Amino acid sequence: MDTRTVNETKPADETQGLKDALRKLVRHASVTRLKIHADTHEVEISELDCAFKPGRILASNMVFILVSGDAFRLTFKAHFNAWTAKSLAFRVFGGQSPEAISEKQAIDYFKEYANLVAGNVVALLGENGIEQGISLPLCTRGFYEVFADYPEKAHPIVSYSDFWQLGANRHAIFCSALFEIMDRKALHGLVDYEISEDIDDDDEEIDFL
Amino acid sequence: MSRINLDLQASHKMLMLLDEANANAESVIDQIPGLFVVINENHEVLRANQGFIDLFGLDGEDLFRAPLSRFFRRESWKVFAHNIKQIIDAEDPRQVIRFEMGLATGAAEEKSERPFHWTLTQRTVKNQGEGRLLTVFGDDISGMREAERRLMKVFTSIPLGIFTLNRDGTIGDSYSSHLETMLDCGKLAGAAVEEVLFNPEIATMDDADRHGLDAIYACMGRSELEYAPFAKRFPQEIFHNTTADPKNGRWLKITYQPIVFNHIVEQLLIILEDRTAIVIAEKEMLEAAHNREKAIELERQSLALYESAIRDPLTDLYTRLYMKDAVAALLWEHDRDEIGDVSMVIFDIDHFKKINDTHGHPNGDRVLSAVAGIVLEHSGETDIPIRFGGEEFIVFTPADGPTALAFAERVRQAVEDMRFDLEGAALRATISGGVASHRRGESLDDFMHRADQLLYEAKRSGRNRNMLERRPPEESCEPAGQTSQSTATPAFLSAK
Repeated sequence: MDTRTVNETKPADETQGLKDALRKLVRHASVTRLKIHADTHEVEISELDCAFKPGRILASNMVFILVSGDAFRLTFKAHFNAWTAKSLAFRVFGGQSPEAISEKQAIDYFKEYANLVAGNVVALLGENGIEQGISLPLCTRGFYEVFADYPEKAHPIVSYSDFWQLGANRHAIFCSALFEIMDRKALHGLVDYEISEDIDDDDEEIDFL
Repeated sequence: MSRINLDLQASHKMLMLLDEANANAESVIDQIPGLFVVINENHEVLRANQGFIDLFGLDGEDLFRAPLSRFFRRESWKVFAHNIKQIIDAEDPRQVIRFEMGLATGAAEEKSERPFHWTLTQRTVKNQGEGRLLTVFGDDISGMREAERRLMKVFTSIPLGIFTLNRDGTIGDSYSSHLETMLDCGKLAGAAVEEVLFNPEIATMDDADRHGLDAIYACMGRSELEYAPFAKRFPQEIFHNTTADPKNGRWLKITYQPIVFNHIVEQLLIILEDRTAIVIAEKEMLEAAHNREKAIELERQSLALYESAIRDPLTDLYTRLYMKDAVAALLWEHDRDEIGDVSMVIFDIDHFKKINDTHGHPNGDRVLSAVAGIVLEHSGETDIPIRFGGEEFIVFTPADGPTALAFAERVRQAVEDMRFDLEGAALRATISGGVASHRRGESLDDFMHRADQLLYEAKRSGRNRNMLERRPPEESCEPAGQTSQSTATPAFLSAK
């Protein structure tokens, strides 16, 4: 744990620490919620290929959701192929076979996943006294990633992005997150925040506002 | 509910609407007619419409990041990739490349290529994650090509020579298999039209046709509105012959149609019709008509000549020339019993020499003409009236002796009743006649001789009368000398 006080830390280091903490928090949410949603403990997180450039299309579909508050804004995207969605949805919804899962069921499955991730992020931020709201999840073609904007900014809003890959039951899911920090001071507590490894199922019960 | 909650609720509603709009927009893209594909710089398919997916029987997921090259034959793909590079390298993002290229469709082992019209455009994106993107539109033009092929088949099978003429006076496309034969030239594309069509005719062209030829070149590149005055001067028909023998030449009728782009005459569609057979037929018909006219004229002239030979111009009666043929036929029929009787009446104007001597020949001719008119007037359709010579007339009639005598009497009476006004002097003329019936087997000369004897008898008996043989002709087949004696007594006498 970093024991330095705010006054002792340089602003650049402090910002980087906050950025890393948020990155870690969202990645954590994506892993834990997938374990729950896919009903599996075999979820692995890994980095994308080094040749990856932001804006590259990661899969044929993507679901995205916005977590927003006064101090912080997160756009979380989960990129997936139809077969992955059907296979994972089949584990939850059941039925004769993954092929029998309809397109709508598959999409709803991933919308719910995005919702779970966002809800978990809100819950973790809430533990730190940071109030956030969640949008409805939207699903569209992965193709539209070419129109996405991932600006890297430091002032006045700190803007940065993160990309990672999840593996669950031999299926790949790609995640991307755009972070926008409007109030660093309000988020200062996150720098030293240790996320509990225990998954609280109650996190799923976020009430939509 | 707090203000922030109300705002979020409104935002949620908006997102739901956007979600629905997004689904509809995707449906629209899927249903874009023809083929629609978005590819990246590496030629990977990022998005394709349903038409593309269906064409190859693929799943949309399988198509994602599939190399576009797999759908083209290697040689075709080289050109396609070249065009993609052109678009990617284009400075102007609005640049469009359009071209035609076959697309391999169907399963790999039975791939068939269908012609497509392609349109490539650049797609502006927000990031460089995929590099530059291109949109590819493909229209299946195999139906159009098939229609063109059928049309071309029709074009090439009709007996016309059809080709386009370029602005530089060279032949562009030819649309008829007859054209090469028509112009007796194997390679037409790119050839100068003056060489293959108007040569060697051009050497003998008159000024009007030469100016017409110049007008063909002059109209090119001008506004379509200026075309008509030039077109009026174009050569309409030429005799095309590349050999020394005129029989090998062809009469070609030329029709011109401007091909206009942006209101400018860029090319001419030229249609040649081989009218050689028609021209030859027309010439033959004209010649035949001319020959027919000549034949008719000759016939008319010979008929007139014959008429003048057999018609006496003064009296309009038949001449002795005609008598030989016509009377010979009549007697021949009588000899074969095809007709019952044949008789003849020989008239002579009494004292005609005195009329001539007293009143002159012109007045004599008037008397002759008037008497002939009476003879003609009383003759039937089957009778043959003849001016035998001088003032003598003979009428052959298919009738027996009494009937012929009755006819002779009517004529004699009519002549007697006629008054001639000759230079103020009134004149009456009379005629005498001998009536004889033909005896089967008797010659014309003998027959006439007997009639002449009877005429002589009528004259000797006082004139102005007719004499008929007393005995029936069949009973008196005697020598001419004996007959004249026995017929001395007149059957009818009309003495004055």
